[in-house]
Amino acid sequence: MTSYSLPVLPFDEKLIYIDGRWVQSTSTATHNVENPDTGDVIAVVPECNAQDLDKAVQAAYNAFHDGPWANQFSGAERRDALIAIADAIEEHRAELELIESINTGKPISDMHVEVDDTIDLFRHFAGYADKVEGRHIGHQTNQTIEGYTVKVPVGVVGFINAFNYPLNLLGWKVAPALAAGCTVVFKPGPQTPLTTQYFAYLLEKTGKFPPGVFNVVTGGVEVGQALVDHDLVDKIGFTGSVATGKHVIRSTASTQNVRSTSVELGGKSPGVVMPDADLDKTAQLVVSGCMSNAGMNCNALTRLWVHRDIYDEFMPKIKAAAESMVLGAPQKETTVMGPVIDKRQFDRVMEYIRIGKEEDKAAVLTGGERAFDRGYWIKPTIFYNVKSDARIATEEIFGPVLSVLEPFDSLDEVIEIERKNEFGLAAGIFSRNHQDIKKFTRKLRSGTIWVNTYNALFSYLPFGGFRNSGFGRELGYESFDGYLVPKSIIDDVSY
Amino acid sequence: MRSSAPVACHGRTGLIYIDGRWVQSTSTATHNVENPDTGDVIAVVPECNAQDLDKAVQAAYNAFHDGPWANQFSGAERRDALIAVADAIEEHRAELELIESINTGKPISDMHVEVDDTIDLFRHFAGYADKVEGRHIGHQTNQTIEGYTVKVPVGVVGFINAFNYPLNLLGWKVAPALAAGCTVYFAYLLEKTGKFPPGVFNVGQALVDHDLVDKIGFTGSVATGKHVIRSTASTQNVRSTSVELGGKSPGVVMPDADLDKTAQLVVSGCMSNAGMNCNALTRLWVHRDIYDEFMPKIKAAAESMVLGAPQRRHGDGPVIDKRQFDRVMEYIRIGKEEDKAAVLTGGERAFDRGDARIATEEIFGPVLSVLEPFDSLDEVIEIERKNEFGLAAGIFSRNHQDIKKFTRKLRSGTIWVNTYNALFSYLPFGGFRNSGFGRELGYESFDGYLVPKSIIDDVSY
Repeated sequence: MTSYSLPVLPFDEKLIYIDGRWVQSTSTATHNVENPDTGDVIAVVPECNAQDLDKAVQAAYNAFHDGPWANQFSGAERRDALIAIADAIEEHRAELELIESINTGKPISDMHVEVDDTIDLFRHFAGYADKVEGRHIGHQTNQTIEGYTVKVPVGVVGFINAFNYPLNLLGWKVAPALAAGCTVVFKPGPQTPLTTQYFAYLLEKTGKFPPGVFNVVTGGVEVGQALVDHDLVDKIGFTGSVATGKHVIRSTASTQNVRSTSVELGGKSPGVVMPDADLDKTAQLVVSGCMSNAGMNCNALTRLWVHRDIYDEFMPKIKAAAESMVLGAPQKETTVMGPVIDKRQFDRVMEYIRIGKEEDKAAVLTGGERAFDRGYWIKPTIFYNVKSDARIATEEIFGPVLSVLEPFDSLDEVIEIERKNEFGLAAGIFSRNHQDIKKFTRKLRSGTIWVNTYNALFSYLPFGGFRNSGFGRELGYESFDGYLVPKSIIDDVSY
Repeated sequence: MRSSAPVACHGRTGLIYIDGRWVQSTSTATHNVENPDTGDVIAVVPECNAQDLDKAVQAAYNAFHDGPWANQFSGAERRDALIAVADAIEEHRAELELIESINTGKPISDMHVEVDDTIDLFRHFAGYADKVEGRHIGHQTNQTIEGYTVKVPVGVVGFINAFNYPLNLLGWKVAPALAAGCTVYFAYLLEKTGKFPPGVFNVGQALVDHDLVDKIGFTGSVATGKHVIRSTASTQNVRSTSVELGGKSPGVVMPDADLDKTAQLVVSGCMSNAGMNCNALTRLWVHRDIYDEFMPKIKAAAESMVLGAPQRRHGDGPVIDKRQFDRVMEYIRIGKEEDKAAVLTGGERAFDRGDARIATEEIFGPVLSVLEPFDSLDEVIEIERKNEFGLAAGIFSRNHQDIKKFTRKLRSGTIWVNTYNALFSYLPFGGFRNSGFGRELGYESFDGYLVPKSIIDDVSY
């Protein structure tokens, strides 16, 4: 199998982008960036430290409080800056797609969609930048006091991104935050810094963003901790695991100044196949719902309820759909699924497969082993007849592993059991019965509920969790509003 | 100076309200409720424990997930329940005012206003209960996928209330939470309306470690607030929080201010509720040109405040308890001995450097720090940027450009112009920086008790 090499980067990936310039890290530590298809090292970036982080935050703080971005630019100017970055991403999409595909193992065909979505995000949120409104309460309400609200940007936002959608999730976070007038310090997942750095390069090239508005630090735990510990940060946006998310929340209350947070902590999202579902379409949707991005997807469909009446008919269909997924060099257009991101994830997923077989004693429908003898490849794996409280059915695996639960008889029983799901990020139902669809969508407390599709997300509909999937919303007006804070001005006009 | 406690008209003080019934605490510990005017014990209530709390939260959880409140009641039914509580408060206002005044030392004249405000809060938020909307994205946007949002209640909300406005802050918290369809743990009057299903409203000790709670609303100190936030990430399930943590709110008196009106506003802005007010005006900037003229006016205004039995008509009351008393007296000592500030009146005021301890730390008592004279509004704004807190501020001026500069540049949750402490059910209140995050009052507070779900439907299936 051929491997594709990283294109020449138009910036120096050994530098970090702070305050409008590419500078040396003060740390000598570095991080090897891998190609998970092969395990080869493709680049070396700084492992930033607390001093780097302090510089970045200071730059974002000064840019916010003293610079033109939040204090002189009109909403239209911020809008146009965001439109310019969308255009720049579009202009350089081929390089971005290739770099991300090599760095993450994502199929290049997925990257076409992800870059489309990223461009859309910046254009979508650009459209909010010039429409920020407060409300005005006049004399119809009170004869002597005039009051109004002003929505102001929350301030300096620190982002800790996950590794699974480096560029796309950057768009989710950065587009609304910048549209709202915030300034940003952004830390990509340690495994996946390259497209974030490329984004900084493109942002700089537009010439429309004052220095310090957007800053990048690369690295892992040390610089991440420094970010959540920094007093000049007003809000933290975090995507990652429950354990780290809890740590982040506690850190926001362990500095001089409390900070607000928005956290997205994963899921164990259920799908439900009703007896009247179109089984062929559903088999495809369920398998891609789980295996897309090699299962490294917070909202992946990972526990599947199949009605008893169609269970035996449905199993061969999902088996066939999983086995027809083309694995191979991610940069080939025919490849449908790539490897997991690194050795740690590989070991974790393989361990869950072992748990499924040996502890949960679940039957394997397909997969259950590694693929190829290089990199971090795992075959699309489906367990079936799994107990709904089995470990593989309740804990987030974050790999290409689907647990098909024991057959169910009534939707009511499914809804009742799903109430106890630790997570509440997403769910899906496959049915043509209107009342069943309505019952499911009305009763389930999940941030997103798909009907006869899965994984379809839009810039204009909010995404986020209930319970241990976290709180706060990304995408949609709600995410934009989350980067704004109201002030109330109360004026006694009778003075 | 003594007013006797009213007859315990409800006879409930030994019990706690859980799941629609008044029950015994499983704890034997009790708490003596004092009258801070005299220090006398006026009542004894249970000191609830974790078992009580668990019962309360379980009741709220069951009521939310299985009961009619969030699953069968229409918005109009919740609206009418809240209107009924408002009516019940109004019917019993005389008792509420007297009890609160004796329990807190609040002047009875203040209580008339606070009860008015509480009634208004319930009627105001009742009006949101039947107007919850999501948005619908149809085929003009996408030909195959129909999407819509549904706003659902966040769930079980645990409130930890401060002591400074017991009834009024309860209204701030509970009215929007119940209007949104949440269930709450925090008592009494709801039972009499007969419109609230069991478990919707419960009292219990304010612990934050319970997993079945979806959101915590907290008003209190920065230190405790940080502890609360950390606790929300120390259980099995993370919970969201909204916290209001106090302030060190600045007032600014410009040279063209009406000095007589301003003196009154400043003094009441600080001393109202004996200074036990998160948004109290506690650090005052006075322009050099009017400094010497202004000092005697605020001295006189302070000295004319009538202190006395709170249940008489008006004036200022005591602080809430010995702990607060000691704390405030300690700050007065710090002001005199450490900050070396001069006292203008009583033992209770000083003028001093902007960074003195009494000028930067929240005292929560009737102590105003008048800072050294200032020359330009720009310098004030620059210094206030470094204020640890950002809850409120006030400017006294008739110059439009100065007012606009101040209101536009200061990052404070509420900014008053030529008034102070005036709050309304329809305008949001809350902090920047260490004053916390989240908003009470206003539509924003109601929205904070709702969470969106997105339904995404492929109609081409």
